[in-house]
Amino acid sequence: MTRFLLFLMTILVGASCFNEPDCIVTATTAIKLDFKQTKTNSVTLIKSVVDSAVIFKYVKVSGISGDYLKDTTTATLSLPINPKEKTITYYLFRQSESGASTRLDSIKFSFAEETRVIAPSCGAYTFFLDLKVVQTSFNQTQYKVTSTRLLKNTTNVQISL
Amino acid sequence: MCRYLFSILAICWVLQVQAQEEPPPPKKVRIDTVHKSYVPTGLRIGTDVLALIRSKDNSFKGWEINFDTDLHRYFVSVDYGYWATNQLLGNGRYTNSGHYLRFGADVNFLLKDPEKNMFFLGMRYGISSFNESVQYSNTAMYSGFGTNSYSRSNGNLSGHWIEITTGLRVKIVSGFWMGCTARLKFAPAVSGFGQLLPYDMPGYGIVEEAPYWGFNYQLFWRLPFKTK
Repeated sequence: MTRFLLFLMTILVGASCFNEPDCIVTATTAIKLDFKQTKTNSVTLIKSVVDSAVIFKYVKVSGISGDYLKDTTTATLSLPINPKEKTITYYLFRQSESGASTRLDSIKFSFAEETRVIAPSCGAYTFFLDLKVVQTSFNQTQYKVTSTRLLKNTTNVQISL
Repeated sequence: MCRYLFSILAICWVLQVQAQEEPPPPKKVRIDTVHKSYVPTGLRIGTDVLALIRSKDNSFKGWEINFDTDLHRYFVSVDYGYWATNQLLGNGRYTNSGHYLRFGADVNFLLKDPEKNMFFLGMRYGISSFNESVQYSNTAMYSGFGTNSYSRSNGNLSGHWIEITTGLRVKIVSGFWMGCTARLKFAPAVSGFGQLLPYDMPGYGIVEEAPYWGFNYQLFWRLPFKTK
């Protein structure tokens, strides 16, 4: 019994190491979009989803006058949200594969927020969550919300082109 | 070697025969020398010195009163306290205040100690009623959206948790005891909050941290119910 109690005391003392929270802030004010395309292997006929580099002529964000991005080629977009608003709309002007024309797509998101105090040294942060697509020009089969929380290094929406 | 072996076997045989012939010893009658009385003999009233010392700092105000009474080797224990913090954050300020109540039982493992010192193990169930608020500012990823200031509060929160406790009570002089209690707190739950997630629950600590560690350094005065 004495050994058990000594063991328990050791556990209690050891647990104190976990009282100090880590200063890791994962909150972000950006929505991350990943662009994908389905490719079929000509030999095996197996379909696979791969990253798709898209040429964006312009990217506009509601609440920002002017272009947020211009002449950018990427498979991933991190677009800002306005913390003062409950919704945000992105307008994506992308070049067609042939390069002959420019296509406009739009996607409007809504989101909620919550406040979390991380630690006195870190501070308090607003976390955005409950991300929903309110309106979009993409087909319902073209996009998938993969994470409803806006966190650093986390993809929120996958769009298949 | 064989003759020694024969001698040893012979001695064993003789001893075995003798043992079989001896009458069995009379059964020992267990005499109960310790009378197990489950009638409380006194009430100990105490306070947490660490809470009072911490209250010297502007970031914490609090006190705690402890009660326990004996039921043979078991002690029924009740703690009641107040806890208020005012913490400067990296980007703002957090405040909370509230009362808490803990109740449970301890088992004393030093029952035969003549000084009635205690080394105990116990459990507690804690409940807390509190409010909290935070003011802070965050800068948006896109600088054009500027820095946003927030003021969030939770007005009427209630929470509960469970503790495993262990510690010591040492009799200093007649009727006066000193002790320490270590607490391993776990399974916290809070209800009644809005956009601000509960951070610091009085009596428990950081809600998102489980298990959470607590420590009390206590002074006790014992009021006997009866005199021998």
